[in-house]
Amino acid sequence: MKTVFYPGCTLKSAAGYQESIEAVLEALEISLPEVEDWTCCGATAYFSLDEMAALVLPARVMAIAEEMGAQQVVTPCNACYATLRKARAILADEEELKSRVNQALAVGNKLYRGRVQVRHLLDFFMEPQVRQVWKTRIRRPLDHLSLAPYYGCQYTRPQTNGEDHPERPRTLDLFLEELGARVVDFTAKTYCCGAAQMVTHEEACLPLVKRILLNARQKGAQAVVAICPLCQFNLEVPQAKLDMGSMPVVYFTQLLGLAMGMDERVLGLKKLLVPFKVALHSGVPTKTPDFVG
Amino acid sequence: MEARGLLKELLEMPGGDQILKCIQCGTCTGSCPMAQAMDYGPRRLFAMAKGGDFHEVFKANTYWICASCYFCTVRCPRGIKITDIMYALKRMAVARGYAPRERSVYIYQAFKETVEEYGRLSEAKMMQKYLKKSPLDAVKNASLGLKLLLKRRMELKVRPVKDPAAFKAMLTKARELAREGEAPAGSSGLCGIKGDIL
Repeated sequence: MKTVFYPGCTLKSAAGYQESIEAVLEALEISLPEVEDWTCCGATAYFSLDEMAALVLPARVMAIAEEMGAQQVVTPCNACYATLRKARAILADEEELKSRVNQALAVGNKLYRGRVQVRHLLDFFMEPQVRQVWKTRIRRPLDHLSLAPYYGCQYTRPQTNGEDHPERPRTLDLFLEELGARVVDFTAKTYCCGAAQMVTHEEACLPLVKRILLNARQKGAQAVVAICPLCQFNLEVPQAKLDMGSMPVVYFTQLLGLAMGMDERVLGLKKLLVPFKVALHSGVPTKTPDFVG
Repeated sequence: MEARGLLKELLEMPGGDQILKCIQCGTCTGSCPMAQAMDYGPRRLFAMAKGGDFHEVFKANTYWICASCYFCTVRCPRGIKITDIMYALKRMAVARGYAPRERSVYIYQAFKETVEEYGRLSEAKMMQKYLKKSPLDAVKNASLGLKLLLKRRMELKVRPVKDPAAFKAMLTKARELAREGEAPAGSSGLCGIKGDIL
């Protein structure tokens, strides 16, 4: 099955997500060509303001993926993932709407047929054939780490991947267990971080973030694991304002890279504002920051 | 009566009549992470909409505060796609000139303007546009912006799509098509919220 990669706009500024994805894929010799000349998916902003454009934007991305002969487009961002799938579901249901979307796409010589599947990068890594490839490459199991898998909202809501529960998914738990880590029972795994409202309504979002991070700490996690650039940003960057010590927030692909024995620099771990040092001291008991009660 | 007209309009949009299914159980508001920042929770907003009090509905910040977590949608015992109704309310409010002095409107507009211009989002460009409208936030976020720059997590350079003019033409066409008459027969109109009344 031909699979193409849709990075989304925020990947380039994410803390080592892009670096670790590229490094891991290269080491595994998995080729994921980028959707050529991709554009923004429109995210929540377009559905809030401009319905037709909100459908045209994701349709353009999927149309190019189809043009490239792909059966599947993979994205590392929850918002891109949910937006593409939402547009896909609406357009599958609405012939007339689809033909109007195609009239707009025709301006740029594009045609959306609705044949390409949309997957999250995490699900791609958990596909049996892909999983087999990286499983055999684990050199330094993360058995010294306790991790809190954070899925955010839009990985499982409004639609799940068909296997996960909308509020209690397991896919990332299973991924981390494969890396040898201890996965904590993380109640807040799909609680909302506030998303874009962090910019506009910070006072309402900080308590959401604090609740998620404290839950991770109370369950004994040394780090929170993210699968989306905005989730990672929201959980990591405002920590200085939370008066609760620090909790590293890393990407699942960075952990895969570490487990494969790759260097932290290659994996972009230096870009974190809250340093993730525990990973580098395999086997050494690590002290978590004191709990501020 | 304008308000009654608006209620009729919402109900006549295929899918808009979903609010009639609401039994006021409050699962939505109880599940909403942002409810404390809202003028009214979603349950109360629906009660007001059903009562025809649209002026109050559109004046409320509720739907602008929604973070799109979809907790209400997956939990609603009546299967109402609440998040999508919030999106529809945002679009209706903008179309009717209810332009709340609400920062979420500014950030969405800044997002949209950036994408129209370059085809892709540039966080730096979006923030520039947003901070013009909400300058106090600039002071608050200055040191954060610097930290991110130093960590190379903020790019000042924009990487536009190959042909921004063609991209813009596509979006202009989309807007023309949206204006060309009402929702087509058989369409959900409010996209994504089609649902039969039980």
